[in-house]
Amino acid sequence: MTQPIDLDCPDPENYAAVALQLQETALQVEQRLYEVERTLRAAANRPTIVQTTTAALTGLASSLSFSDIQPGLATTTTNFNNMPFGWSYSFIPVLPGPGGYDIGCCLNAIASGAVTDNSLRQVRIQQLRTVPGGGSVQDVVDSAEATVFEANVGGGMDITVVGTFHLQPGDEITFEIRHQNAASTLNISSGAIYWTTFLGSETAVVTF
Amino acid sequence: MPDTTPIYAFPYPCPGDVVDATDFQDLANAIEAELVEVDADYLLALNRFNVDQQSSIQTIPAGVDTVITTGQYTIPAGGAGIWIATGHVFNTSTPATTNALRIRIRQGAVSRFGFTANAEGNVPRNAMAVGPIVAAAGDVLSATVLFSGVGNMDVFVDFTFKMLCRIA
Repeated sequence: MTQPIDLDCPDPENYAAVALQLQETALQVEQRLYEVERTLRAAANRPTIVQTTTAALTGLASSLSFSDIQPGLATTTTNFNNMPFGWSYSFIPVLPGPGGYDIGCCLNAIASGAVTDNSLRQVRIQQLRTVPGGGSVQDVVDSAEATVFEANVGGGMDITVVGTFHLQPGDEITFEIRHQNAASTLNISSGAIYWTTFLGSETAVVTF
Repeated sequence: MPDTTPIYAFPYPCPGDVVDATDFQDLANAIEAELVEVDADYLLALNRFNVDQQSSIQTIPAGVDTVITTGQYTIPAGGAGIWIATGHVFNTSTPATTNALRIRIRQGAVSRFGFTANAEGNVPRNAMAVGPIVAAAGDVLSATVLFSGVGNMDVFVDFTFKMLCRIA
């Protein structure tokens, strides 16, 4: 008779030992499978956050200076978030650590009133890093931007920006816009999307 | 009375239960079913869904936000998750007047994001929009294109759909 699952006492009368052995086997298999599945799902599901505004951001004045359009300045809802830590654009968290991130935003910029034809709209994402010993001074480490000129055909201008950034813990990410629609202020329509996904660590092994 | 493990509910008999071959079979089948799930995770981790396809050339009239009827993509079974959708519209014609070209990516009939290119002065312009879609299996991803000007425009759209993250 084959010795099933290493039981010392496989005799028919020893039912209690067989039951305990089956329980132990089930728990051992579950532990092993759970570890494998968790690792695979961590690989398949990169930490990602997607947020959408549910209200317009209004009153952006014409200027060559940039204005903040960070998520949260208008009412914002989180559509998806599997970041294994609290995520903040104003201070990149320590986990998952230095690495590559795709960061993007999609928005509609529309004049609140009269339109200045062919006027500038520029959206940019910047990565800022505090200079050691420099107090609040920050260096611009990297940026991504999109520049369009108002076509004045109604509906404003749809703009998307995406960039790949090599972030360090403590870095800051800013979303900004500037425009020269002198005839009226500019609004960012409700439904603007902000998103970030962690591509990979700069170290060989990372655990969440 | 039989019990189950806490995560995957693998069945096992408890002391005092009558143990027979069915108990072994039930446990083996439950483990095998979970192995199939792990296999699916393994496949997805190595071979994430990625799509790169083009629409046919389609004639669109000025001033009408027109659905591009080819090149659309349906999120497959097991594909619920975050997708990065890109639509790049190319103009292959010379309308009498062109002022702007806009592409918007849609999920079902809802526009999610887009990009508008100013093409005043008949400057040949393409437009590309890229952004995330929180998608469920069966969702149809497509695009609309709006051309502002005079006459008709012949366009095609180059789509890419990349699964970023699974909702499971």
